[in-house]
Amino acid sequence: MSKKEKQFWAIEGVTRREVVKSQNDSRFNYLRTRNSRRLMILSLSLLTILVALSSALPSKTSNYVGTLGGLMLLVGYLLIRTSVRHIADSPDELLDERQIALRDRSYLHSYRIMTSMFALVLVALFVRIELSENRFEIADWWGTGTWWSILMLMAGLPSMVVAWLDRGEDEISAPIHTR
Amino acid sequence: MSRNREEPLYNRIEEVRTDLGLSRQELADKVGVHYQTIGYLEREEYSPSLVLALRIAHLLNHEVSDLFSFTSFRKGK
Repeated sequence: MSKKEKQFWAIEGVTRREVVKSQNDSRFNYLRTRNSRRLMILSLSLLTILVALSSALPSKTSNYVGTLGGLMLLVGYLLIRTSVRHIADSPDELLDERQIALRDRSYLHSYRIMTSMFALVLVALFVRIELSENRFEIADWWGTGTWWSILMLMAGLPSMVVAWLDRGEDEISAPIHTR
Repeated sequence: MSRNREEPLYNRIEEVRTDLGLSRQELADKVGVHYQTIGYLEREEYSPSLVLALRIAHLLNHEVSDLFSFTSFRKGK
């Protein structure tokens, strides 16, 4: 029996099988076209903001809306991972040099985007606290939706950036092209 | 202006590959990259590492300098 192949679920969040399957799939997939990638990025960005804002709704409504929005974010996350052939989550062993460079560049951009967003939120919170005449409770703004949005940003942002940087596969010739 | 601005690297991979009757997928499998990466190389949108350039040149039976250049290859060369 052959030695058990290394899996990557614990750290990278992917299995070797799903990455290899996704990388070897040479059939046309609408999810990998430029337009659908752009549409997914736009939808996921808007949804992430809306789900985060849902925490400001009254408690019971906030929980329902946050959970529903969170599940939608989860579906979106799985779709965008598929759209970029799991490049953002894959380890070096399963990628070639161009894909590794693309993945690394996406993490650099993701880090910059996330730090900018958190800086803006911190400044907004600071201003809100300083200007508030009443006691400001962070718990009023923190709920199910906030957790889901933060999780989405941490897990999905690199794939979103890869989807933005990489050319849509509808613009690339087929693999069997021989002229 | 960036100090590391990359010079465009031209190549004849597509021409030589098609002369040999190889598909992108076949060439990609032989050099160990994804077929899309061959597409990016042929469109000169990605410059390969030296190791990959050597592997491709070896597989296509050419010298690296015959396949890659900082000056554009004339059509039909």
